[in-house]
Parts: sequence; C-alpha cells; structure tokens
Amino acid sequence: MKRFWAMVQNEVVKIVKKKRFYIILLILAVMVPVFSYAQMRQSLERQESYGSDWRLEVQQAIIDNQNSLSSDRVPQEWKIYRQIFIQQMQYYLDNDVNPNEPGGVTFTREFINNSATLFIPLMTMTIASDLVSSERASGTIKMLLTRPVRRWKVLLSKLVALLMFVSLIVASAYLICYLISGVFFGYSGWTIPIFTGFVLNGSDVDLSYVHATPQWEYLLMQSGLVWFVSTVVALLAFMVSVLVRSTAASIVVMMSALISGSILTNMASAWTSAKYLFMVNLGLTEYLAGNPAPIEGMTLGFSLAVLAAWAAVSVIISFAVFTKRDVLT
Amino acid sequence: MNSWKWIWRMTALLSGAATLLLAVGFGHGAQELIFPRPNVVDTEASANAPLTNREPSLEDGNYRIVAVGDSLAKGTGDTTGQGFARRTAALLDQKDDKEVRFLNNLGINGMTTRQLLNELEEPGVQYVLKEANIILLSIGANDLFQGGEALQMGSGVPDSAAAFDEALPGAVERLGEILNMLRSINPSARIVYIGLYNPFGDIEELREAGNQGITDWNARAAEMIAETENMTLTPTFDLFQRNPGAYLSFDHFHPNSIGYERIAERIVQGLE
Repeated sequence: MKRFWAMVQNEVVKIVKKKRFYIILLILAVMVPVFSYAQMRQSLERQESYGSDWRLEVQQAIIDNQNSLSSDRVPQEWKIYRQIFIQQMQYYLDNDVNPNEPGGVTFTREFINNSATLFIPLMTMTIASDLVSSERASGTIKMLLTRPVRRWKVLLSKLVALLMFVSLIVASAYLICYLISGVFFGYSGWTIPIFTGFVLNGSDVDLSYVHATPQWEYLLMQSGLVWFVSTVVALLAFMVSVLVRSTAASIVVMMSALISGSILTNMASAWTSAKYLFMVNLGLTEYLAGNPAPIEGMTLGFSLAVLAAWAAVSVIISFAVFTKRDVLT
Repeated sequence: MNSWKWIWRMTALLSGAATLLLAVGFGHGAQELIFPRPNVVDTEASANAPLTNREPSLEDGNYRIVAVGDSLAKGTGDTTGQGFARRTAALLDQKDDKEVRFLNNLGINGMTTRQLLNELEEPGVQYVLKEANIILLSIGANDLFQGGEALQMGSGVPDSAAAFDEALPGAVERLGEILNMLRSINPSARIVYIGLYNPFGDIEELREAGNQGITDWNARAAEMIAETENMTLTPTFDLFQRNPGAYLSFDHFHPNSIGYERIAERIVQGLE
C-alpha cells in the first residue's frame, strides 16, 4: 500500500513538473478578468436604460419573451424554453428577489454555469489526455513497465493522480473566479436567495417544489455537479490517451467529442436516442437552475446514470487495453 | 528532493480537502434534484407579493412613461421599432426641459381586453405601472378585429357588422374594468387611452361596418373616460380615414413609422 502511494506521488510530481496545471491556472487568471470586464460593461449599459431598477428590466424581459411566443417564426422548442423562463422570472418578481444581483458570488455562479460543459472539462482534458500517450511518445513507458510492479497498479496510480488534479482544477476555478470577479463586483452575495427546484412538465413549471437556497449552498451543489462532469470527462480522456499513441490525436478526439456535444444539445431535440451520448448529458447544472433538458425525457438521474455508465466502460477499457497490449519500440 | 516531497504533501492535502467538499456538494445536489422537497412557501404569492403592496412612486416633476396593451403599444409595424410610446417620449424630451424616462413597454402582440385583465394581476406589471406617472394604453382592436386575421387569411370578407355587434358590449365592459384597475393600481398617474381607427377604410366592403363599429367603440370609451379624472382619450380615427395606405404598414392593420409619429404628436399635444 505504501508503495502504491509512492507511485501516486511519483505521478503527481510528474504532472506538476510538466507545468500543465500552472497553465490551467494561468488561463483562468487571464479569462476571468476578460469576462468580468465584459459583464461589467453590460451591466453599466443596462443601468443606462433601466436606471438602477432591476424590476423594470426583469419585467421587460418577461414581456419580450411573451411577444416572441406569439411569433410563428420561433421554433416550438424555443417557445418551451421561453415559457419556462417567463414563469421563473415571474416567480422572482412575485418574491421581489433579483435573479441577477450583481456581486462576485453571482458572477462565479453564472460563469461556472456557462463553462460547466465545455471550458472546465477542457481544462481537465489538458492533464488527462497525455498521461499515458506522452509516456509512450517519449519512450519512458518502458522504464515504467520494467519495474517489478503489476501493470494495473501503474495505471491505477496514474488514475488516482488524475482524479486528484480534477478536484484541484474545479476548486481553483471557483477560487480564481471569485477572487478576480470580486475586484469588479465586490465580494458579497453569499446569502442571496436563489430559487431551485423548478420541476418541469413539458412547457409548464411545477412550482410546488421551488424553494429559496442561499447562494453559497447553491454554489456547493453546483460545484459538486461540475466535479462529477469533469471527472467523467477526465476518465474518458484517460481512456483515449491509453488507446491513442500521440497526445495531439488524443486531445483532438476528446475536443471534437465535447464540441459536438455542445452543438448537438442545440439541435438534437428531435433525435431522442442522442440522449444516450455522454456529451449531451454534460449540462448537469442546468437541472439545478431549472432549465429544460436538451432532449425531452432527460432528468438528472438519467444523466448521472448515462455518465456513470460511460465512465465505467472507459475505465474497464483503459485497464483491459493497458494490461494486455504489447509495448514495442 | 525535499521540495518535491513538500509539493506532494501540499497537493495531496489540498486535493483531498477539495475532493471532500465537492463530493459533499455532489451528494447534496443530487439528493435535492432527485428527491425534491415540497416547499412550505405559499406559491400563490402574487396576491400578497411584496411588489403588489407597494405605494406608487412619488411625484418628482419628471415624466416617467409606460406603455401597456396590444401590438400598437408595442409598436408593431414601425420599422424602427419605436412605436408611438417611444416616439412620445422622444417628442416630450425635445419639447420640455423636464427629464423624460421611458420605463417599460408592456405591449404584447395580439393582446385582448380579457388577456390584459389577467396581465394586470401580475406583481411585476403592477410594479412598473406604479413607477410611472404617464400610462399609455392601447387595447380593444384585437377584440373587434380578431387581429385582422380574417382578412389576412383571405377567407373572404367577414360579416363585420354582425361581428362588431357581437364583440362590442363585452369588450367595452372589460375596457371599463381595465381603466378602473389601472386607476386603483396607480391613482395619481395620467392615463392616456389611444382610440381606435379603422384600418379597412379603403376596402369598400368593410368600410361602412368598420367605421360604424369603431365610432361606436370610441364613443363608449370617451364616455367612460370623461367620467374619470386625469384620463384622456387620444383620437386616431381621423388620422387614418382619408388615406390609410400612406400611414399603415404592409400588413394593412398596424400603423407604419409615419402613422406612429402622427399618433405620438397627438398624445404629446394632449399632455401639454
């Protein structure tokens, strides 16, 4: 057991030495100020047209959406989104709660919500995609396998190190986002009530489960869901890196899967069996916000099951291939 | 080698803590979503919502304008999207040295008197109306014309005279309810009702029935408005009577930009 942790330690040190993790932190530190600034410009512009009164703004958003509902040019599934949006916004107005109260915490919640399906999984991929393939490319894999250690243990130590970094990436995304956006919007907002529990029945929202959650609790739940998604993506990328010889190819494979996922969620609502693809199920945080699922019939339980199944299969394949395959040259 | 040991310890510690926190969050979130708790809060809250019980905003000598009602209030047909509502605000801004704020345009395409009565129950709508001191109201055309649908679909000319007679009494009654409701939501605001015009004045078969129905409606509306304080009816019937083609948009139902501008000029004259 001790020897196993020594192997994990070895893998962690390798990842740190490759400086990938620092690059991820650096990307976050560059991107977050850019988005914060854009957001700040937007809220300044809003303030010009609505004064400082968010209620006027929310009411106008409701009216605008109601108007688009009567238009024949708007596709049916968009109308469902808008009907749900209208009901949610009306609920916020009924309770006199600003859904977009500016602040570092609110910005963090929204930023992570938008980056949960693509940006953060991409970050975990940068570490996962070359864990095995880079050893093969540089030939160091032979050194690793000539040690008196079973192959599955070698792979497991890499997997554990990867999972450690997934947690670190998700946590530091939150931390960096909060620290930087706070400079623009202030560091308050932990206790603002956020409504969750919008249960969707077709285009109708069942309000009987809606309740206010303090924003810190919402962030906690959101971070957990993002972590689950990132872990699944990391495990898939890990499998690809076992299967593919070159790191570049392995990154391209995973990247195209993720991007096709975000395209599919926008247009696959008519193709219902697409819901068994993992990339359509990455938007777990949407369930928390009460946004409709891309394909009818998807629920959180369903998405979790699909993702877990894909992750399990990819772990099995990784181990089966890694322990059996001949390593030549 | 010591520094690597230190890095390993820090990484292990931090990621252990992060994993624990994230796993707790995941468990909590999954539980909340898969087994949602019924809430104890009253969801029929609109009646006693905080916004419904607010006092109207105080008079500060400035114009705060809100438009409410149907597609005319919204400005459908105006290629610039302003409608008479924003045009009124712009004209007032030019003329007066008072500050003019256009708060909201609550106009919704196809809105009928019945739908507007429901809409006025919304706390958000009531809030906006309370913030205003000038309320521009346009409603009734969809009750009488059914949105001009019958004409557009080319299903032949409807028997308008009978249709008007049928729709008119109920719609007028609801207009009265709407005016009362606006008054009780905001007792001090100036309410301007935009009278109806006949968009089919250049269609022979429809002209007479339309003219009669519309003048009936406008007369009944004017009667009600005359009884109440701080309300005006801005007539538009004459604006579109002689040459509807020049002031109506391509759908032959809504005004075009020039038509809206002419309505806005009238509204401003009534406010001065």
